[in-house]
Amino acid sequence: MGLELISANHAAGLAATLAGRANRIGRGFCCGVYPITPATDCMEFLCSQEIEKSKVVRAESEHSAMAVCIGASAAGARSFTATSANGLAYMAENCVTVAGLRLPVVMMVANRTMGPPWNIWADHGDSLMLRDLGWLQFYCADNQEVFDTVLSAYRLAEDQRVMMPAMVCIDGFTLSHTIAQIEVPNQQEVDSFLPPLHIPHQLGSTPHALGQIEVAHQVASHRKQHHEAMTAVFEVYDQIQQEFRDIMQRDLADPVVPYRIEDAETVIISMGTIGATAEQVVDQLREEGHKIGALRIRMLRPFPAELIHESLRSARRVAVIDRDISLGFGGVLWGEIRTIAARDKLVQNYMAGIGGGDVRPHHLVGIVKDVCSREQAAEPVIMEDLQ
Amino acid sequence: MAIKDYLRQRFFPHIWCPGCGHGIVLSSLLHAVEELGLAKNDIVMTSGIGCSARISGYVDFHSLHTLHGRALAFATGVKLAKPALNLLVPMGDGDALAIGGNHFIHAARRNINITAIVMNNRIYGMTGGQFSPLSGCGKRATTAPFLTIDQEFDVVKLAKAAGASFVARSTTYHAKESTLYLKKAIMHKGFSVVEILSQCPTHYGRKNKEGDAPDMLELYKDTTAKLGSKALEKNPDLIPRGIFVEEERGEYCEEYDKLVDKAMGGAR
Ligand code: SF4
Repeated sequence: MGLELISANHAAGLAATLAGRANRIGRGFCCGVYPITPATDCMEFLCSQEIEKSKVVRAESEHSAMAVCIGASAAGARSFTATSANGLAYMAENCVTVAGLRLPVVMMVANRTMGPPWNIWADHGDSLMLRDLGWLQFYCADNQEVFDTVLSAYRLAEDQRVMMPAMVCIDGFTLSHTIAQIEVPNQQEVDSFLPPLHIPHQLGSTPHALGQIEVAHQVASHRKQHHEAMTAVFEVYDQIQQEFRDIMQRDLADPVVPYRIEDAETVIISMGTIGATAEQVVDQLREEGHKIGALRIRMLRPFPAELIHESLRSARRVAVIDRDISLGFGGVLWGEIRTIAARDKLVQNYMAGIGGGDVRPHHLVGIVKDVCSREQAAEPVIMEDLQ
Repeated sequence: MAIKDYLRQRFFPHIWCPGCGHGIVLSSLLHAVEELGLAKNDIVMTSGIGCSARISGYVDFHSLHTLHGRALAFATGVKLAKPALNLLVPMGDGDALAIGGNHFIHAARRNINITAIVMNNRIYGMTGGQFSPLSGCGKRATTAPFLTIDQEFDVVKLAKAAGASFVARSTTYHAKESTLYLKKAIMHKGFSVVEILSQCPTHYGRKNKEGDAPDMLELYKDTTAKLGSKALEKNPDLIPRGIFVEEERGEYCEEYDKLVDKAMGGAR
């Protein structure tokens, strides 16, 4: 274990590099990459790490980058890529493919506003667009978590009970370009955490067909299997957390991260870096005597409904903060929370930080005051101008 | 109309680095448009993503700033819907020939009356200096710390083989030549490609030790030669400049009209 002062983009690249090297006694590491702001630093980092049994294809587009990852993964190599916003949108067709083929590719998404209008700042709309494809989806709040999540995403995605791709989302710039100190395991520790990849349906063993035509009932049963594998994730994740603790001597964060929530009557729910700001605001308001807590949703798919439900036991009011907008509906996260929050709770939606607006502590304080002043929930609030 | 009238000065200062070649390309293009006396209202510029694509914000034509690599596909839609408009499509090398390579060859194959300008600086500038399909072997980039092993495209040969009916090459050192080729390209009926070598001192120049902008311009002077010139005859390693293809061939919008006439049995 050592310490590194590193950006979150590089932390993701470093975790992927160590994971890739851990497969050197297997079929190695092979990635397809294409530059896009703000994920570029991550793929550049990967390009500077020429390692044993490793290849990085500087592809001609995001679509091809994911195609390379799919080919490499189908051939048994560990694979990784990184992208953002419209790059992810262009890659989407192959994001469907990799999930449908049940290949454990790990991707870092530096969340960025979808254009046009063109804008490079953080917004969760890009990765949420791919929420339902059959990927595991994580949202991170700090550099250590980015490193740990990428590393453990391999372990989770490659588990025989899970076997599907994983997306690790980090707020563009706010997190991707922030430099912080993190603990980095040595290769030996990574080797013992991440066994060589074994894909049961990998190419180059016995001849078999991947991605063939299916009739309705076959598609339905494959979707069912995929869905059931999603529900197996929580148990597998528990085990991985235990092993992570044993090997790394520290904790791997939970799928949902509660903060001072035990007796909280008001709870702020969010994803990504806004969650870190929320914790600061909780401390501040607790000092003023408010019974308030925060809940950060780290794993969005599979959706940890039970864990969230459990965490909201004492809550009477819930402010769901979305850095996204499902046009014609409201916040995506709000929609999910509404499906599980008991009817006696007031669940109010605030869309803040759309298009990269900087969500500061005083905005969250304002939100808490607003939710506390309400008798019942109203239409989602779009916070246009964050001063 | 004066050159300045073709600019949207409210968008200035522009985002290009000092010494970037793209401003010289913009100037050559505006001179071409001005010398041809084209009305702003008759020009549509579609662009993709990258340093080059910002041009569409600075010119006071109809402009459509679209997606990375797709400018030609958008332009195809505009041109077919309103063939009387002049379509100008400036693209960077990554934009035109990596992510947009497919659209490039298919627009050429159709021979649709669009003017494609490839501003070739051999690097992805906007994202910070990754190598492109035009960088060539043995080059340094942020994605190639141990030098590139990838072969490059030759834009002229590619455009020619794909069916473009007008193909020319110039450099930012030869700005007047660029204007001449651009004028011919705009007037040409069919798909025209003008490749203009344009320096990126910030990334390509710095990484590959080509010096600052004036040094890179000197390099364009020293490493290129006019088609048919003695210099080129003597040293075939020089990069040829000039008009490589200028042919009359069925233009797509016109062919389409003929098809419609035929299908309707002349009842239109
Ligand atoms: S990065 Fe290169 S291409 Fe882009 S504006 Fe600067 S010099 Fe020009």
